[in-house]
Amino acid sequence: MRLRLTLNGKRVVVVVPSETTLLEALRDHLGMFGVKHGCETGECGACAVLLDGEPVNTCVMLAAQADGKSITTIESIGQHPELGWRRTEGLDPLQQAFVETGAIQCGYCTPAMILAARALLAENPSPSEADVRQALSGVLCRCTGYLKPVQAILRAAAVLRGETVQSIGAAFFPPSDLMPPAETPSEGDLAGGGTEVLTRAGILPLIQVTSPPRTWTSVGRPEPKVDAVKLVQGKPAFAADIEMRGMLVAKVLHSPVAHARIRKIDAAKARALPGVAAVLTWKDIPRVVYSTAGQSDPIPGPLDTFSLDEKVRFVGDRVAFVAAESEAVAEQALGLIQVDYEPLPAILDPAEAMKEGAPRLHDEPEYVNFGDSDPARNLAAHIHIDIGDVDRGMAEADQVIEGDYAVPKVQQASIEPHVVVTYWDEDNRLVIRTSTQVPFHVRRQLAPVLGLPPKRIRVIKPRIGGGFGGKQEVMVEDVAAHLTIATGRPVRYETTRAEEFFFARSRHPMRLRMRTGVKRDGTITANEMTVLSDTGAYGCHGLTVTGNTGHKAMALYVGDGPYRKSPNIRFHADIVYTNTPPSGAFRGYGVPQGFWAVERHMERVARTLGMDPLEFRLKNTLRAGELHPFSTAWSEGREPRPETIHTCGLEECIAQGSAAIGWSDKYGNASWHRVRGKPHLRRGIGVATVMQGTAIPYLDMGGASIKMNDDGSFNLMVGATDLGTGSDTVLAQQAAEVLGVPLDDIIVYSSDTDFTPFDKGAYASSTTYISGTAVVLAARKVAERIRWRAARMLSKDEAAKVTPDDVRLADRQAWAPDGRSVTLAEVALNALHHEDQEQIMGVASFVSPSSPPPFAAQFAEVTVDTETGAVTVDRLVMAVDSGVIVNPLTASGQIEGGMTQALGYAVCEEMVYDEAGRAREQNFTDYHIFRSDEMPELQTIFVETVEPSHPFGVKAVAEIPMDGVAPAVGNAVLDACGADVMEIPITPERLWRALRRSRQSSVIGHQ
Amino acid sequence: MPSLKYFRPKTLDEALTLLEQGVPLAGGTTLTPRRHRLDAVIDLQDLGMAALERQGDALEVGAGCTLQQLIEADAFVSPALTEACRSEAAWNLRNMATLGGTMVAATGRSPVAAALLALGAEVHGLPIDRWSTVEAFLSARGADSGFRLLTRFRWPATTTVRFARVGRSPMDAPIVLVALGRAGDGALRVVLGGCGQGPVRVPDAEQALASGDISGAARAAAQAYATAGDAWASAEYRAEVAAILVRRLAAEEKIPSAAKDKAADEGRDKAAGEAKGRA
Repeated sequence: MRLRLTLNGKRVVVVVPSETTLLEALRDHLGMFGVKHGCETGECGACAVLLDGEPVNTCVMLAAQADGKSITTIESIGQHPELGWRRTEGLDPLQQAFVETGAIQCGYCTPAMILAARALLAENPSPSEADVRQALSGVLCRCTGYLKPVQAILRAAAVLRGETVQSIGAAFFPPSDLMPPAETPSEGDLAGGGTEVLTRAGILPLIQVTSPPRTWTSVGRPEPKVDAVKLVQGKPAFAADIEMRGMLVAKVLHSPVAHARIRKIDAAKARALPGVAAVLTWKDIPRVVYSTAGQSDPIPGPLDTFSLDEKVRFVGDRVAFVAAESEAVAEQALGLIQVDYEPLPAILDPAEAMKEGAPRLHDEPEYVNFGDSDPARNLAAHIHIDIGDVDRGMAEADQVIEGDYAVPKVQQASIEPHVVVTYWDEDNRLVIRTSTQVPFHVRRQLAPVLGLPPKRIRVIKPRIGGGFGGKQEVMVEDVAAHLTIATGRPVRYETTRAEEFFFARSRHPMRLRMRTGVKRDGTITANEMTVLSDTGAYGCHGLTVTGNTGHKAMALYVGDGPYRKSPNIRFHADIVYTNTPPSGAFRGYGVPQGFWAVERHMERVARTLGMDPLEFRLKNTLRAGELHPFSTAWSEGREPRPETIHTCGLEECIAQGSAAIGWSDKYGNASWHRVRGKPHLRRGIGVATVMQGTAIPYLDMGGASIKMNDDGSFNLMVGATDLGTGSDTVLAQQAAEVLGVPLDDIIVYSSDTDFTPFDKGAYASSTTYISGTAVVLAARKVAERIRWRAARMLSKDEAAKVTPDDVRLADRQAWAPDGRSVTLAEVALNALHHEDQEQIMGVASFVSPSSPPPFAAQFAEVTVDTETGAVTVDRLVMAVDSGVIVNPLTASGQIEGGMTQALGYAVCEEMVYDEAGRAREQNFTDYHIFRSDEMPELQTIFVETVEPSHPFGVKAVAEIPMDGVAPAVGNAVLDACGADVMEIPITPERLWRALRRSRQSSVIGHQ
Repeated sequence: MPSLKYFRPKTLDEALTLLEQGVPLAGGTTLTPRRHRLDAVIDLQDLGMAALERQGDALEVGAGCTLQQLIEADAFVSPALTEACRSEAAWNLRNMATLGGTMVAATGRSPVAAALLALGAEVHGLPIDRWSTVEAFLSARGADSGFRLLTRFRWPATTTVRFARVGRSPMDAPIVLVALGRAGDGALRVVLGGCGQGPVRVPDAEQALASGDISGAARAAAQAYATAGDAWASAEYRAEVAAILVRRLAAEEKIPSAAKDKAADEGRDKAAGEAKGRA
């Protein structure tokens, strides 16, 4: 049908089929790529536009409904201030504020947020924080935790009202300056949460600097993200934002049964449907066994997967691929594929997987074992680590305390789903433009699957709309690639939100048993964890994720006294197959699972001994100068080598975090725990101490290449994969620091397997550290050539000779000690055009012999309804030692967003399967992630240490915020009401049952 | 492949004729994802059914009024209904979803449906051209009740509503929801939600409250949810929490309790206090 719209102020006519959604019309027919696809049911809001001035979600609206109306998309708002000789009015104040405050991470939901804010400010120029949170309530963000977007909108409102806003400067404070206790909510206040939360945090986090005063000009500064300006304008920067002539749409037929052999599959009817270009079943493509886990060679896990197989192993497993002219035709074709399934008994409970006579998931002869995997027993991996002598340690204890804990399967839920576009280029090389965290692994791992050598594959990683580990999986690229090979045409495959839930990867659910031996004085003598980990239908990351559960979470408590020198730790894990969707990588990578058990257990041990929980922790936790206890025992399935902990700010984190949350005023204070006028409510406060790692030692490698341009600017090319975290920015800041130029002069590009050096990809909290060091090393090579040439230029006409070592790079110039200088542009022209011509460039790479752990203390304040079991999390504070902070805006953004994901893990996120193995959660209504208008207050404090193994002293920041929120909330719940919830999420009914148990047991105790 | 037919009638008569061959389309938030399974949609946006007005002691609201319009008319509608609208959907969807569409699609977890039941709302439908209680309308969905097209809702302006809900997070769909309505003449309505096809009224609880028997009302609520188990919560949990929330709302509403009931309440509170003390 023919529609007349006023699109961004211009009248347009568009002809679309009547079932077209407004989202499809805007993206596919009108090229408005700033409108994003995040779901199909209207919950995420990434597809929002202003319809006659009001934000609406275009995925749940027919284009026809908008006929005659006015539509505003991000494309009409703001421009780059300088477009050649043409000057523009620049960015809109809202966009400017989003850029300045660090409100953009992946940028996928940014256009929708800007539009919502615009509609708000049009009606209300002076909104309260609650108004802003209401306005953002329709846009789900998985990256930021909403704090910086809220601050951005309040800032923009002030600018638009003509008020002067402060520039965003650094907020450092000296080590001696402990924060004053934060104000407590006034008596009788129903503790915060929701739209009423009053953010006390400034735009920048507090940073406690422990190192001497610095002279850095770029590292440590709150620089705006290098990709912020394009993202805030909604430029077509993402994998799906591309138009190609003749591009087909791919769809996957998923198994409706949990376990079956395909007796017969007939695609003839589907192939005959007009508009269908190809249908592929297992019969049509080569049978190549591989692993979808995006990891370095050799893959530390079993090879147990085929692009398509004659067997299906979970509801959602792949049965056939279709490519068609339109999505509707592809959908219809799926329904015409006739499949005859021979149902097999299924394993849905991991506890059943290894029992005698259990059905076997992997009986394919091609299966390749790794380590102790044993498909005959449904064992995907097995880990047993003994450090010291646990049995002796337990025997020496005054008391052995045990506990059983459980964590659910949860989804990464990046707002951009998995999406890939494949096509043959003019050299018949296969181009894979994909939303991935691991472009180089995609190329290497898919090559044999596609029957191509890696050199004939080019993987392009454009901007990524969030990943959180979900895109550390080679999960969609083969679908489109097989279809491009079959048809010769470009193919786009983008998963639906439902597919993200029933087909994509998730966090490993685990059952964890703890046994801890302690002396009466609180010394831990031995610590043991036994884990049953569920990898689902395929092995993927099973070994390495579960290994990290022990390697990080069980490393923190070494004990005290003699035990500190020689800790007794045992970690035992079985990682089993079940007929459920495969588990994979998810921010934290096994460590949040481990810390739920460890930190809940340590709280219970401390309380059993009658010790202060903070004191008990500090007595037993790892300290600087000590050996990482697991470093000699296990290293991601590779050879372990000893690592010493050089920096540990944990004690200071506890001091700063407890001061910020007012621990001493609240813990043990009965009157603070009560809420006046609400006898059924109780407040509680809890803590968890955690550690993570920074990259995989002796394995993770990143490369960087820097070249100098005529104007003294530099191209920085990295294989490192910015998936929204800001890694491009912090890498560029490190280059700018070495080269003495502003960040503007570094043009970053990531990543393209043809043009950028290798990098293992964005995982294991490694980029700032590993790729950052590579960037510094490459920049030093460039700086050396600049200094050499500048010294020669500065020595020409003067008696005073300058040696290269005397030359200092700063302010875009090379300075002689006597104050003379040449500009870098002059050096560049000299090098490229004038004299002994050369391309000044540097290439370097880095692999670390250690994985320095960041440490943190995470605090939570909750209000518990002791009658209904409802938990409201009022406040989260995290004090973290991530080494030196390269960019306080992006780093605190990581912490805030991570805490928010972890908050969902604590109270509402889980994936549950029915008796047939069907997923209960398939959309954002059932799988609830926190909205802007229900957030607790968030606060971030960085306690800096200077890690000696990095040129600027950095450690990781990305994953550690996932680790401690759930146990801190669990401990706060215990503090509030005395009920121990052993399993997350702490849903109202789980807590209600725990409350009943604790009342019954205390009644029994009284008898 | 058969294409979806789209109509945007200008008059009610035209719409009713077209509805012979398709389904009414309001905001589209629940219908659009199902578009491939539909033959024809009749878009109601030009029928001008978005008015909010006061008719004597009643408020009358067009079925095409969006949830956001209801919120913005906050001086006009009960604060509890405003709260229910916020809880029903986030801003973007509230700009699209209409009151009529929300009722057609409502499940037991819909706060707006619970609010309308507690308000004693009625809905007018065509072609039957009749008013029905929202309660009767909700339970008749799926059957041919003559309500092909909802035109407007009405409820007494003097009725007040209180809400209590339990969910996994403040804005998550409620697992248990209780709404207590008090009409101008003092008549009480007790509505339970949080599961099933729609929220339900609990007449036994209403009668008990009317006679000051708060424990009786709580028991009736528990009884009404005695089998209300599903994937999200057990019946045991819902029954107990429904009773607790009824007690709380009765206390907030300052419903005077009969003497024996008061004693029972005190005993219960004391026991709960002791349990907490031990904790």
